[in-house]
Amino acid sequence: MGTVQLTIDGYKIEADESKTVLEAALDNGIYIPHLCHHENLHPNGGCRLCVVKQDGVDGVITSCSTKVKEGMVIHTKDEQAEAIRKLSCDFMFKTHPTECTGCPKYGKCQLASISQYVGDTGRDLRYCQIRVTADESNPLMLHEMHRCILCGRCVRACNEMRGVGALKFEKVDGRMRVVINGDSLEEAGCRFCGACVEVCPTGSIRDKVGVFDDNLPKERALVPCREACPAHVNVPKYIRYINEGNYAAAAATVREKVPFPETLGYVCVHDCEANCKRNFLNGAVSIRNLKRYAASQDDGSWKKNAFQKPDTGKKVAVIGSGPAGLTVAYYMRKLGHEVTVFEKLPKAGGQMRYGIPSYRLPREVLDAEIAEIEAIGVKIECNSEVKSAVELKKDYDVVYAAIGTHAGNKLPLENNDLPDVYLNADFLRAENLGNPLPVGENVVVLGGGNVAIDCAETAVRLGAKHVVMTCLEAPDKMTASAEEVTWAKEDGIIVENSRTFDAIVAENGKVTGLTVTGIEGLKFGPKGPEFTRIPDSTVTFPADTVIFAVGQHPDVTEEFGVELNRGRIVVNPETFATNIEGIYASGDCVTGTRSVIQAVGEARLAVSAMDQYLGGDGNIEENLAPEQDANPCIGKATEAQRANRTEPRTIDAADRVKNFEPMDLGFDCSMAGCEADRCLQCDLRLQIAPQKFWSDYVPEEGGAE
Amino acid sequence: MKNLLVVSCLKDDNYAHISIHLLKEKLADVKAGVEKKAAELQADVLYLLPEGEKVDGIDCEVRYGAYNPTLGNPYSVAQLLAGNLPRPMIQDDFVATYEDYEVSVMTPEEAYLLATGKNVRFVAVTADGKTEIKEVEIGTKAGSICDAGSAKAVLIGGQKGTFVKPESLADYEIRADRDDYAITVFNQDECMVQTAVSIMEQAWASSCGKCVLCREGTLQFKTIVTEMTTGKAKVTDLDLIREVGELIEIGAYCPFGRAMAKPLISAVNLFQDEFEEHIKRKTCKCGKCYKAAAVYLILPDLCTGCGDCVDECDEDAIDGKANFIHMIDQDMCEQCGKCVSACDEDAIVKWEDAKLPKLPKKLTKVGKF
Repeated sequence: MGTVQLTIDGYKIEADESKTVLEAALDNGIYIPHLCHHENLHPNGGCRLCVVKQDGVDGVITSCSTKVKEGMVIHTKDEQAEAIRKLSCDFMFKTHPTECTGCPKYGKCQLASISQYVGDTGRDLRYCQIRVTADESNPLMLHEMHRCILCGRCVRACNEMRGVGALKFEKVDGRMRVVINGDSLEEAGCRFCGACVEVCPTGSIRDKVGVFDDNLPKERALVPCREACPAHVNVPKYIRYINEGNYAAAAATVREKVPFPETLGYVCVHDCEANCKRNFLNGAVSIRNLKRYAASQDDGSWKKNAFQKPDTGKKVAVIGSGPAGLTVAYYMRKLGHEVTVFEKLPKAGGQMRYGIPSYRLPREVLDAEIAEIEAIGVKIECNSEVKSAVELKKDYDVVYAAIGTHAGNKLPLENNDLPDVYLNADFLRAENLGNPLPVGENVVVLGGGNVAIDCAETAVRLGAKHVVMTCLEAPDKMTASAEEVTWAKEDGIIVENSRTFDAIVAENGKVTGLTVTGIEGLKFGPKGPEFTRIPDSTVTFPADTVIFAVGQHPDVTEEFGVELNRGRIVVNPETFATNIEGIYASGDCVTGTRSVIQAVGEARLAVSAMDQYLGGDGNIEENLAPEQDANPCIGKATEAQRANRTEPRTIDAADRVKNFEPMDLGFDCSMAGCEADRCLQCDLRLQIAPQKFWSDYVPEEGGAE
Repeated sequence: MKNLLVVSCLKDDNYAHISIHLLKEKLADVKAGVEKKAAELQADVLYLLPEGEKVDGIDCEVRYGAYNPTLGNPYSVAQLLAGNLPRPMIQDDFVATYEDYEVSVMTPEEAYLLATGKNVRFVAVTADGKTEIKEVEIGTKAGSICDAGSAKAVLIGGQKGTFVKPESLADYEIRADRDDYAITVFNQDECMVQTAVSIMEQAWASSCGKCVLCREGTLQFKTIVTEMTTGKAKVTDLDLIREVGELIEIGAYCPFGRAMAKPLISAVNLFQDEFEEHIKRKTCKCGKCYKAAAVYLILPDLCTGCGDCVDECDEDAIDGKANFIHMIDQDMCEQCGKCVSACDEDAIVKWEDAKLPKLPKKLTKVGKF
């Protein structure tokens, strides 16, 4: 590419010959007003704001669509050009609402910014506002086309950049308008990529309030799935790889942030799905099952890209081999430290092995992922209980405690100490150790979370005939995921919502039932739940076995040596350091029972903090997947792309309750492809250059550098 | 990429439908020119005809569309072919594409000239409501092809043209490099303001809407000139038209946009008195304007100041307070007539006479006027 010399406003400028006069000027800190021009769109030339004077040419030239040429002499502040700009501004403001302060785009409006720069002539032109009411029919985007100044950036973005064509120009009663190319955006094949919103200079096309979090920086807010994930897994990137059929790259993308891709594919609580923009349309993308499919196709090709720093000679002890402990062990080893994990139970995995039942997470999957961690040199010592972290610290440079919450909570009910009354943690651990606790015909589980469902389902599989789950929460407020509640009901588990527990009924030291009373108006106040008891609604569910599934707490005492508060380990929320230097902690034992992904996400932060403490840079970012050049031209939505959420294949209820084999079979290849195609690719919007204002171009007073 | 040569008949001005005339009358020559150009470009050929027109003897693909002054621009044509509104792209090295074609455009007249090698152009001469399309040697004096002896004005160049006095025709030379495709004669009974309204309405409808100056300029001109026929315009509007129009001539995006103000500016310059009469005296000597334009008035001797009319007016055009004679602000009145039925005293009337009765200029107590 050759370069040419030209003169703009007296400044000698060298520019690549492919540049336009406008680009050359802006690159050199000389601002020329422009509105219909957008750096990601083809030049247009319609707004007439970028006109400039070229020596030797009559009239004015359009700087956005005129290429630079050798020896050109340009005057951006030519009197005639400025008069034309002012006229264009005058005209646009005669069609645009006069009141700015009521507009949601106030302060971020490019039209207002330009008019401040260009100035007003006060000409006695006629007001010709476009009378069109707001179109709020779409759940994601709002059209207030009475503010539209017809720069056409949205139409061009939708057509040229995206290949969708959901917006078009149309003359309505003689007036030019931007309209939807169909009865609705869905009909028009809209992909809901938001490019139109991103390029609109005024407040005409906007995201609806509540779709994105206004308090976050744009690059985080615009991709809500990635933002919601505690480990910030790059969801759109791996879904795009799945859509392309490149499953290994998808798996590698997940692994960039988590050492348990496939385990998470089975059991993740998927906050990403809860925040998926597609929820506003027809159901979130089934992100977890996509991850599971991709991870199952992993060919290990990511390993050649994984970093491994040279040995540092520092020794790290990890107490507990749950998701937090193993994540820390994995990354600390990659950072070059010598890592030993101490696990109290016979095998590694923590709640992934001793809490989550095997019908939800096949143990081969977990074993394989733990083997991957051991393969890089992490030592795991099972059946090794650490009584005191402080004692352990004497032999190590850093001790990290992630001892989880392995003790169940027991409510102060009458008869709660009888042998037929179990705690969730004990009940699930016994089953997973191969020595299940016996259950009677009638089992009542107290609690409404995922662990309560695990207990109820385990009881069913252990042979209980009638299993009842009862909880304070109403059906729509249960903390268990809706999918799991549905499956539980299919498996014959009866869910009794909005009940408070009065007493465990017993005869001769044997549990016979649980007495509950209906409640309403449930709130969680500072002292716990608040509600009103409904009179005459007390009933007794017959029970031979009662299982408490109302929370868990760390199995830890003062002997451990670090500061505790209400039974949990206290850490600095930013550094994860305990009160004892060199001892760190995170995971459930700090936060109370959360999730695998939460544990992994925090463990990554703790790793950075500990590595820095040991003198490292704390950087564990890695690019395991290939660079992805996402194609912005996504085309009109197909029938498949508009389809409802793909549901996974499952084993029939009658069969699955007989054993602990996996019951959710996830997706096959074609289901994964279809579901991946539903992704709205919210991240594409980040490819679009942010809107700039005149003050952004001018380096300092006076123009060119 | 393949080439597509589009023979566009849709660029024509409202005053000169020359292309379709040539296809009907000179098809053999046009086809010969098109074939020559197509061979040079190795292009497939497509004819773009006005909707509803049928031409026998075209053996290429034919598509239909509405007239638009931008349809000589390849990008604009490509947009139309793709089902979008036409809008031009004028840019260095720009290639217009439609499907897998690169689009080039020629008019039937260009094809005819290419085939015949003649040094002529076609001119649509309109007088007394009749249009004749004449083949004219370049350099011919306009006076020799058009007799406008007793006419009021002549518009040379249609929607992109300039009004001149009839006597100017004699020395006016028809040229190839300007918009001399139409000569339109306006007789003495034509009101120039009304003519300007009609030309600006056409310009507004013709504007593709891409460029702010043309899209909003045509709308402003249409609105302002129309106000001159209903008494809402101000004297300063004539200078406003000239000033804005001259900027548009320099600053608009495409040739049509830059030229569309010329008929209006030239009419204002040539017939300043007639425009001023419309604005200041609210009269039209030709009797075309203000005739049907109803003005609603509140007769001061009948109004009781009850205020019923105020509530009825959607435009808030009625000024008044209890026991004062109410007044209609003619600038704001939209002539809907709702106030007439709201008045129990029959004080509000539709006034069709150009001469208005004596009316209060400021709020006056009932009975004091």
